[in-house]
Amino acid sequence: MYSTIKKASLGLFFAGAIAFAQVGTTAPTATVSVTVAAEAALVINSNVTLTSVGTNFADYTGNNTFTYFIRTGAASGTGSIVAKVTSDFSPAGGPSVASPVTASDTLKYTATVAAPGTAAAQQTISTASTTSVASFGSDAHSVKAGNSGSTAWVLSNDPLYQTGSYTATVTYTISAS
Amino acid sequence: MRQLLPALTMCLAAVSAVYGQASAQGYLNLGPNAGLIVSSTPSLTKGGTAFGDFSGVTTLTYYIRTSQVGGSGSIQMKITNDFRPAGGPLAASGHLTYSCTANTPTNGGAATPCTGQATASTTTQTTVTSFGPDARSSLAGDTASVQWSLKNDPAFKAGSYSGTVTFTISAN
Repeated sequence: MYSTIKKASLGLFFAGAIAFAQVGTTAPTATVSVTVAAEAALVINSNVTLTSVGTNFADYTGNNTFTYFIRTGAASGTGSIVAKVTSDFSPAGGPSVASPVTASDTLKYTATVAAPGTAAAQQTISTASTTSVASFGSDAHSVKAGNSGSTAWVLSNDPLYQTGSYTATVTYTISAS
Repeated sequence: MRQLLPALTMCLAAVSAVYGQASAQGYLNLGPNAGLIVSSTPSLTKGGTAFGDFSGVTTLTYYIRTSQVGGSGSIQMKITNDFRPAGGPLAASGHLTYSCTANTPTNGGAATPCTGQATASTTTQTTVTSFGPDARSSLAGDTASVQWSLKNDPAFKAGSYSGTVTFTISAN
């Protein structure tokens, strides 16, 4: 009699333990994975107003700064910052990138960028195609807060320009692969 | 017949004794117990903005029974293998944080998920959810989750990285 009761109770005890053993463990694991891709972003910190300083008809100059964020591919990655005039000076009668009143009138810039970027040589900006501001090699990384850069502008001061205020838009594009 | 009758009586008594033993099965001691299943394994994905943090969710199915008086339980976790290969994010550097949700145990008791954004650790267990006394999940289990947030630092080398997190559930 007692022997039989013991066996019956023991059987139920094990049944209870097995029930939880079948629905998980006490220390399962999960793998957390992430793919970190090449990536880039750019912040233009300020607009720029070009001014003519010094001698008469000295070119208009000004400087604006930007902050870039970049990560290029470790093996064969590259990156670039390019610029293009996406809205020419307006209103009419003043400077123009696409249709200057004198053929030699230009809007030029000289770029400066902190490492790991390499600044381009002085460029004449265009409305038709992009021009280089900076380039990056493989495995290039900015810091989390971004790295700095700037463009120093020089606009021809042609006496043919009508007096007034003129505004143009330059679009910077950063890319990474 | 006279000899047969006592024999039948003895058999009936024996059968009664067997049924008497069956009633002893009511003495079942159900102690606190717990189990856990990781229902999904996340691959963290980046949000829409440039250098936005990576995020993802790990869903857990928990089974628990805590003691009626003074019982408690918890789900905890620890990063047992930090992200590899080198050059990318590191939980040890505080790059991985998480928040928690937990459904109330279906059959009673309370589940309290972690509050706010906690930092995952490679050295100590951090709490995902804690349970009060008499917490009882459903037989099919109840759900909890961990929402991950991983820093996206430009300093990380481009590539794929993975780490292992070990969850531990306990009940008393």
